Amino acid sequence: MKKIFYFTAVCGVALIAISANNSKNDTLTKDFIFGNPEIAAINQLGFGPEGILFLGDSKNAAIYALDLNDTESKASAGEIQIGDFDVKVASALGTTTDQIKINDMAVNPLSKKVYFAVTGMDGTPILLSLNGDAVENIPLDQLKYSKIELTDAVAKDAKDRRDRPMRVWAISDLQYHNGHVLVSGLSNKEFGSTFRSIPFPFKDTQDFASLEIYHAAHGQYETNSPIKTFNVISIGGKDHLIASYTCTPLVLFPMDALKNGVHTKGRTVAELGSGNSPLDMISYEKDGKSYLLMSNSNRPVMKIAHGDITSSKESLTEPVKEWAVAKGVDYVSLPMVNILQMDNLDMDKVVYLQRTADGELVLQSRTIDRM
Amino acid sequence: MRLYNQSDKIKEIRGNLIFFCLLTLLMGCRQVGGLGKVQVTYSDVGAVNVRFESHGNPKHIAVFLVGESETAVLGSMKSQGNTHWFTPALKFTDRQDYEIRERGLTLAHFTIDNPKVAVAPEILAIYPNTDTVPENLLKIYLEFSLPIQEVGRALDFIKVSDGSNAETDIFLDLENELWNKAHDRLTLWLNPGRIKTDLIPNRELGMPLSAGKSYTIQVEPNWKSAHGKTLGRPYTKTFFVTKADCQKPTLSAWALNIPKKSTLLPLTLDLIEPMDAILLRETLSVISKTKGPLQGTIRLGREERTWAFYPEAAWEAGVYFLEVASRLEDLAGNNLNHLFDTDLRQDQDMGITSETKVREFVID
Repeated sequence: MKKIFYFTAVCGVALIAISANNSKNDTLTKDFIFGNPEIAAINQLGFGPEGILFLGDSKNAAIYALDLNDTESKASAGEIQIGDFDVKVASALGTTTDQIKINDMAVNPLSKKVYFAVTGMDGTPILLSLNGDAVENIPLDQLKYSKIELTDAVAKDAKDRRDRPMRVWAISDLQYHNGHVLVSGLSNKEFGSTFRSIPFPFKDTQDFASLEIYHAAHGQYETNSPIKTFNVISIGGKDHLIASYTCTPLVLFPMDALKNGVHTKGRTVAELGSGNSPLDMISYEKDGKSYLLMSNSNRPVMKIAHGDITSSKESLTEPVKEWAVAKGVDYVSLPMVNILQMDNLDMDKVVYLQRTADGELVLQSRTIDRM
Repeated sequence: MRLYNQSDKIKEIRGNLIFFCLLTLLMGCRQVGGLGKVQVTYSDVGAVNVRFESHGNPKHIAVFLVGESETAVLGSMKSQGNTHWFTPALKFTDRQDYEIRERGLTLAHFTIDNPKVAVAPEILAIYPNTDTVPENLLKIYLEFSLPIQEVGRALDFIKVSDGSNAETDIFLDLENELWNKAHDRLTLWLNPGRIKTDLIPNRELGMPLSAGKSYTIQVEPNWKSAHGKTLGRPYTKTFFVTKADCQKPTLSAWALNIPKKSTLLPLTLDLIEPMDAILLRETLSVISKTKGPLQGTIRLGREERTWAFYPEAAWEAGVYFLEVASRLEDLAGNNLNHLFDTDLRQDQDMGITSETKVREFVID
């Protein structure tokens, strides 16, 4: 009898857990439709809750949310070590490495599965996932998805004679945070950085914020410099956007100041040297402390403690005069160079794509003990 | 797509058929399905699938690159009886050799030979068209006759040299390059951080261009179309640099030439200076006070100094508005609202900023 009671109780708890999980799923994906979303390009990838993959399409100036049915939770991921990864991807796509480009990489935080956005010579977008040492194709013509277009909230975009929008948004980074998809980008017409915060699930009415950001360091000249990569970090219990620009200033914006149509002046917390361009940014925790990792085109991976950003009250307003000198918040250069893509693999590991000194592209994981 | 036929064409490739009687005898374990012929289907977009016949189990049949032993080509297989169609996730690559294998044994191989690749791309225009540009020139556009390859880095195919033939680096290197959707027009920014006074790149490196010098842009002949055909020849453009343009374009200063009623003559506008060629095509519109926006054709004059609007219907007497989006820029990125390089410390009179500027005119 006792056994039956326990069995019933366990089943009851399991049912509640399953239904709670389902109802959560229902909430986020209930408006998703099944079909061919006609994705034209995959420039950026980022995961949200429930294994939902967000995909930035610069050609369609749109963000897609995909339900890949990849929701089985795993506590940790195995080690990854794959050499000649670009050769493997190219072979799987029936071609050679000069005919493809790996645009982005993202890890599903639930399943720890690694996904890749790849472009072919003619622009064909490909979504791949890693299964052991092999890559698998995710057909893009049969998907459960939701979509929002990045139309200009201020001025209606011009259309050409075939009624196609003339403006293209080059999406430079994308991240889900706290019910919103954050997107940075640059227009192909007027020079100006844009940053958008789009509520998710996407709504029919496009009541997303359309923001133009400028930082006014260095003599308070407006720059409108494009954000290359960004991350959201918590400082003093408040969310902040830490954005890295193409000429590498690291700029901090309080999230609650980023409002629709408002020009927000950021605080430049570091100049990480000219002649260098940031490539990717992630955060991780180690021994109870949070750190930011930033990979660069011409510098090793930089490790910056969130706490150092918090304590850094300085806002750089004087130009850094010496060529390629870094100033501002302290950072540690890790012995990791030419890191093209990186993401958190699990709580203890980071996975990255690295071009080694002999030109080989390797996909590998590294524990945070060594960071 | 303009140079392509719309209808799909099937090109039959007779693969080098390999019969495995000997191999089967040697292995002595199973029968490998024989292949009659291999057909590759070409469409406007490339080699989209391969059709073959085999008695074998399609679950054990896969396509490989010749020489690749481990990784099969990703794609989908559809079967009807002994006829199978394999559609690769990425269209087959031109001039590439492939093998169809069953359980590791090669059934046939085929080579992609796409007739569409024979068309070489061309550069139709390098904007600005003018051969004299201000020191603070902000953008250069390249327009191609065909979609261009979407892998690699555009700046690897573009060399800029100054009068002394020294190579110089003037463009902003963006990981996400600024192409239009058709991928046949590229926008290149002259590094704006170097143009804006006192920014670090400006202090360290100075302006990308120097007044009084000539520069030559050379586009390398090995840049390819989306189908892999090279430009085949270099394209060059030489321009002379004059002093910086620090004046906002002003609608009221432009000379408007008003046509007579009942004619199809154009409404023309002399812009005084060359304007951004791409923005100029899309930021001006003509509106009738009584009938709303007019339909017509826009033509740009020499060096994008003039703009003309040819109406679809003859002009009627009445009041009209020429509406210009304020985001229209001159070659230095100065728009109708403000200069590109604006000193925000100066409490200067920025004037009235608005999304559009309007000028009224009357046809009588």
